[in-house]
Amino acid sequence: MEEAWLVPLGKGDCEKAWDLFLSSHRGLILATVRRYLQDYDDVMDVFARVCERLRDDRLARLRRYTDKPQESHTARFSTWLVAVLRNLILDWFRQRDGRKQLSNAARALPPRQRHIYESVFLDGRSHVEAYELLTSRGEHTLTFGQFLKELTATYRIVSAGRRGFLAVELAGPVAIEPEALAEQDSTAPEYFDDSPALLEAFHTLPPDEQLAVQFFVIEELPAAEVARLVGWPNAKAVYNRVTRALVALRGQLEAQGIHRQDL
Amino acid sequence: MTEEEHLDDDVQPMAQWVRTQAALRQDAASGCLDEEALAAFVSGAGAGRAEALAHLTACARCRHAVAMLSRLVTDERIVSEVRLARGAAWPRRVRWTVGVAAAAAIAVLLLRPSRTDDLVLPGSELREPPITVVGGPALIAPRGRVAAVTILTWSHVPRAARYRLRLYDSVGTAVWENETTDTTVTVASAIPLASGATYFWRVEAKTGRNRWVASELAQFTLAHSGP
Repeated sequence: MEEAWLVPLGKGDCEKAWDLFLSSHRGLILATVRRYLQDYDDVMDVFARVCERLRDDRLARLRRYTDKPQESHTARFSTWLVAVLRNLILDWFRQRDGRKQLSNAARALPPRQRHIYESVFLDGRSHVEAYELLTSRGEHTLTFGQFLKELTATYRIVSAGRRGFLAVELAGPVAIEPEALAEQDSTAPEYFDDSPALLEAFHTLPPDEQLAVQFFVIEELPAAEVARLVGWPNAKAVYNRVTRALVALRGQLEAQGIHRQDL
Repeated sequence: MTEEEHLDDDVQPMAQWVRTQAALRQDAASGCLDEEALAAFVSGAGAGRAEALAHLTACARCRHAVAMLSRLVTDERIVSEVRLARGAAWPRRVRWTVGVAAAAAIAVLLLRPSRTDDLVLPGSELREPPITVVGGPALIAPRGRVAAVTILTWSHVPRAARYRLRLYDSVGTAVWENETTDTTVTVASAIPLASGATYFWRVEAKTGRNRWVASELAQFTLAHSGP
């Protein structure tokens, strides 16, 4: 790690370390904040808060990384810093200004979508938690597929403004077409929710294929990015192996009497 | 064509099923990846990778965090800022915690007359790559007040595979973008540059995978034409 600010930090001069850190990383912090927000006032507001958190307690957050023995680091400092910034930005929105920032969109939502918005976007609950919360509050007939459809609609309304990346962050993966859902709702609704046979088949795939399917199909990451993350050579490998994995899944299901027309 | 449309049509229903399974959107009860573990996975670091991969298949929260972090660190502007931050860093091979004797020994290694990339410190395969400051292109013309603009010219950048030019109007709206392997580009006749108007332009040079170095922003103003 080659950072000038480590020298004063090592000598206990946190002020000097902070000045040096900020002078070399201001652009990275701002670029990360701007990935989430475009409004100038929002950007500067979040930038100030993020800096405050990084500077807290004599740069405790930064020292969490630098105090570790160099040989124990498994990530580049810049990647680690972006991961920290991501968490700080999300915390800031969720804990303080999140409700205020997004409440205009939320106010226009129907009750069910508003509940989803509050659970998922603001409280950071998983999709399954939010779904279970809804069903526990009386929405007994709601399937998970229908919940995802409502989540998608909520996401589209909230992300219609200029905070698209933030909305993707807060909503989680919502890659689902309401039209496709509507079509499947009428033909095979039981498959929207957990089917043990299907899930069992999924878990027979090698872990890297499971993850590639999840990244590519659910998270909608570009194939080249999926390849890099799972350690495959290129995007073509992702197309081929994900296709083969899905075919294998279908084959296992057919062997259990669940036929192609059902899926 | 979207990425997913590369999949065969007959596996699309299976993809749709995968997408709608609650069990594949469950969070793990424990063992979630901290910031360094997430960053390590996104960086492709080998240590703890198998465990991280196994956790990610079972934890929607961590999987989403990896996906979003991956989107962030491959974002063009963030990549550019990471490169600038590295350029601004003070080149050191050792941390302050390394003792004087160790530092001296490493200095001897650094000063020996051999290729600098021979030096592989323990764990350095996981460190930032050596700093190589490559300046952005210098914008040559047009600049300032000009009568007409047909060609934009900038300086060569060592190891640049190609250049990306962006032209902005006076309010910062991009009006033209072009990529070329040359250091000049002819302004397309389809780009209407208004006389009397001020424009800004910038050139980025691609010097490696996901590595771009940007020029400063230059300005030119087209002189009024006609009587």
